[in-house]
Amino acid sequence: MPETEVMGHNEQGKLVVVLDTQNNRLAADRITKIQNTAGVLSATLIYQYDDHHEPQAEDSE
Amino acid sequence: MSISRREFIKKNAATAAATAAGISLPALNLALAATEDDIRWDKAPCRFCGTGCSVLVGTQDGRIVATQGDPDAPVNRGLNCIKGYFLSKIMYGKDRLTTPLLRMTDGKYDKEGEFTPVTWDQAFDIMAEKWKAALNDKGPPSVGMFGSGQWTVWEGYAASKLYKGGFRSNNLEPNARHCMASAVAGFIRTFGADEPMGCYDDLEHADAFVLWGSNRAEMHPILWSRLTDRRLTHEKCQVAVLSTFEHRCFDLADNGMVFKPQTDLAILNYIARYIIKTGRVNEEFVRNHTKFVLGNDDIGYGLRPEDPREQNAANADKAGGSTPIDFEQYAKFVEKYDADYVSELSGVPKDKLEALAELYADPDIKVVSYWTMGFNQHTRGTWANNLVYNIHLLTGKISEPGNGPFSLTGQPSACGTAREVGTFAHRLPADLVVMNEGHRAFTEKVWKLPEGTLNGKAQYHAVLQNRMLKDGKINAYWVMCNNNMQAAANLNNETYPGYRNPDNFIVVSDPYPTVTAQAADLILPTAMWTEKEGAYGNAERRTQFWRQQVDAPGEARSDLWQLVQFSRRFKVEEVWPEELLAKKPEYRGKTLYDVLFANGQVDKFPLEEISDDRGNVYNNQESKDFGYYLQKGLYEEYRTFGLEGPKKGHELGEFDDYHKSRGMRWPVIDGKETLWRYRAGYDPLVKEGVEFYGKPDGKALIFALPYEPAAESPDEEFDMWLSTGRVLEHWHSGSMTQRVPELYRAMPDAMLYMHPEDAKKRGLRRGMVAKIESRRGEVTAQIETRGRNRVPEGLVYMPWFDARRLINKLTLDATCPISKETDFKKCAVKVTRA
Repeated sequence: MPETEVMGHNEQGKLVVVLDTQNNRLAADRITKIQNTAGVLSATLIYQYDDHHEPQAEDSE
Repeated sequence: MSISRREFIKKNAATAAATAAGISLPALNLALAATEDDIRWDKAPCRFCGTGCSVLVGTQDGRIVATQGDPDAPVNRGLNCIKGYFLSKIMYGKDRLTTPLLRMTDGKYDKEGEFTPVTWDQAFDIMAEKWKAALNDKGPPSVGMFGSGQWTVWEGYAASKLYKGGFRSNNLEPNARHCMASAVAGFIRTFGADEPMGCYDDLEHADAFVLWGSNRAEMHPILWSRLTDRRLTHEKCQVAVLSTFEHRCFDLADNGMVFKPQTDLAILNYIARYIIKTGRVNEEFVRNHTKFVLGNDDIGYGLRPEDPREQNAANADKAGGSTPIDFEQYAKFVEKYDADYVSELSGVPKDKLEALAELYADPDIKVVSYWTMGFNQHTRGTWANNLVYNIHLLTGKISEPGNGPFSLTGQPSACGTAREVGTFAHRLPADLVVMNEGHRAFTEKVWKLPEGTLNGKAQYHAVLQNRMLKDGKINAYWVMCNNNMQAAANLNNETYPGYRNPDNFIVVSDPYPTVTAQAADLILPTAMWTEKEGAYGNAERRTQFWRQQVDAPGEARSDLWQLVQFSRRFKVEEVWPEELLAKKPEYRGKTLYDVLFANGQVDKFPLEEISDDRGNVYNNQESKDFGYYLQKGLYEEYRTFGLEGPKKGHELGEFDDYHKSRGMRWPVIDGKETLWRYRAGYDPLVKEGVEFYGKPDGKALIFALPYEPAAESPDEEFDMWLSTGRVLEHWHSGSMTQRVPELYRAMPDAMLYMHPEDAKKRGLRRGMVAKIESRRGEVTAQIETRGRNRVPEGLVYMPWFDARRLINKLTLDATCPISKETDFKKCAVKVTRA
């Protein structure tokens, strides 16, 4: 997975993953992908930062 | 962004994650993370579901730019789910409403006109005109309000005062009626007091978890991660999951069971029978702390009275009735729910049923039952709640760490605002009800109203409000902080005709132009979440406060500001009869604002600078506009109900303590929260043993209630069950989450989940567009035969977040006749090629 780093892990099998995407639309795709990966029981998010200050285009139309 | 800044933020993120997960990251220079941060961080409960996670909100230049799971929060311990992750963006959708909009033609209000920007003054002018006309013509029941489990505590409280105390109308309902009214009715019937006895700490104490109609992996992911942790670290831990289709929770389940819709009632009775037959009734507990009753059966489906299903129901008008019985009669009642009958009826194999029952029956297993909409959105929802309490009461597995029934909520303040403040047609704060004369008298005293102001009749509940709008009985209607056009069942035949009825004036307050706003006559732009100071109450009785972090855009103002401002438009003489005024002549010539808000209590606390212990200063728009600390005044008056009211067990803490803490679970006695209620040693209100003090004799009721079929089951023509629900990425109607591009992209369109064999039989394949049709309407959607939801043959599932595919055109407005909550999980449809 590009733009994805595993920063640490422990014996219980927990991983710390950091996503750093140029296009932040990819973030959710990536998270969903991680969540749907076989063997992943639960993926939770801890920290989010976004410095795009433009109003979001509403592409739900 | 510079490279070093990018690295800095990544390190911050990794550090936060590692801390939350209990992982050490020696490679990182942690010292860096503590410096050169120009973001102001402050806590707030998440805006979305009822879990009540706390997040740290990062503000920079008057704008929310970042969030992180709050490491000091006992609920989420630094974790966040995907929805919480995007909290920083929900306020910045491109189509955010910033000015009131009125339907006008040639500069005048016209129901068929175009939405035109107007000032707040113009907006309140037309509203006041319509409200006064309705009150004059038809009296208090002709004005109504549909509020929210997303309101802050003081918003709900202000609405309750304005409607019940000011307009003398009990037509105030929250959208929470759609999601947890059955839980409320179940708690009140069995225990005489609302809300769970346990708390989330049970997740670290239980040996077994049973999920009844709760897809927690997707809907309450943080609680799911705590449950997953327990399952993986506690050797004897077991997880049982029941649903009408397989979902993500089945991945972890030791015992996953797919049952036929509605047969959960029979399974619950099977477990009770199993406990009795295997001699595992906790006799001492049952003898001392419970009584048995036979509930009325054949109670109808909450449809319009002329519907044959109501006409044919023997007890449609006394659905909540019951008669005392004894244990032997109860045992005889559940006798027919044996393994053969229930396995055949439900489709669940006998060995799985027995393994499930054993979790409850075995005295050495601590078990927690969890449920959400599967139980609550059910035409026998109150029964389902009563029946699960039965099995915890029969075994005494209740009110102690790791043992107990626990209903989860879907909205952030369904408990705090809708239930505790009592913004229902029949409720008053702190479990009081309008039907009780003593409760009304107490409320009138606290609110300084003349005796007899409050109306003693519970008026229109949520579903009835839509019917009464259609029938022209409610003419002035305010919808605030919800999206009921998309949420309420049977849109084509009930909701929409009511909103567009020419006799009615509909006001919708919302941050965004939802489908409900678009069906209104006047739209009011609303400040949301951290654009105001607020308080929410989560599913484990935890009340949490937050400060205003940023200002709302344009003219947008909070629901609280709107409610209080509107009260200024009414002279008491215009809404109260002379005999009431004669009892309080000093109120003559005053406005509802003077009587309800500038009453010496709500306006008691002066305007003060709002700051935190780190020296940051925060705005408070409402206090500035009204000249006093409005939120604090409302809270302190509201708190009187718990401290001095006729029902004990609702005590709340000091205002300032909530701003300092990550919330407290009520009852809060001497500044200390209560984790488990009703048992001495945990609940300071109980001196010895167990006391269900919501009931006068301290005894909970065990209900004999049967299995009865659904309001509408599949037949020859409409040959499949339709269940509706949610998905991880979107919250409810999607009015917030659909505006976050990332979430929209992850799950853009609601799909119809269908079994591949069912698809094949209809000439359909995965990815094709199908028409889904019920007796009430139709929609089209793409077929999904794989993926996260695996439905059995005979059932289709579709989420309801997608405003372009309004699944509520299809659903039936049948309710539990006791709780009046709609069953969104069961109706009959046919699926064909589009």
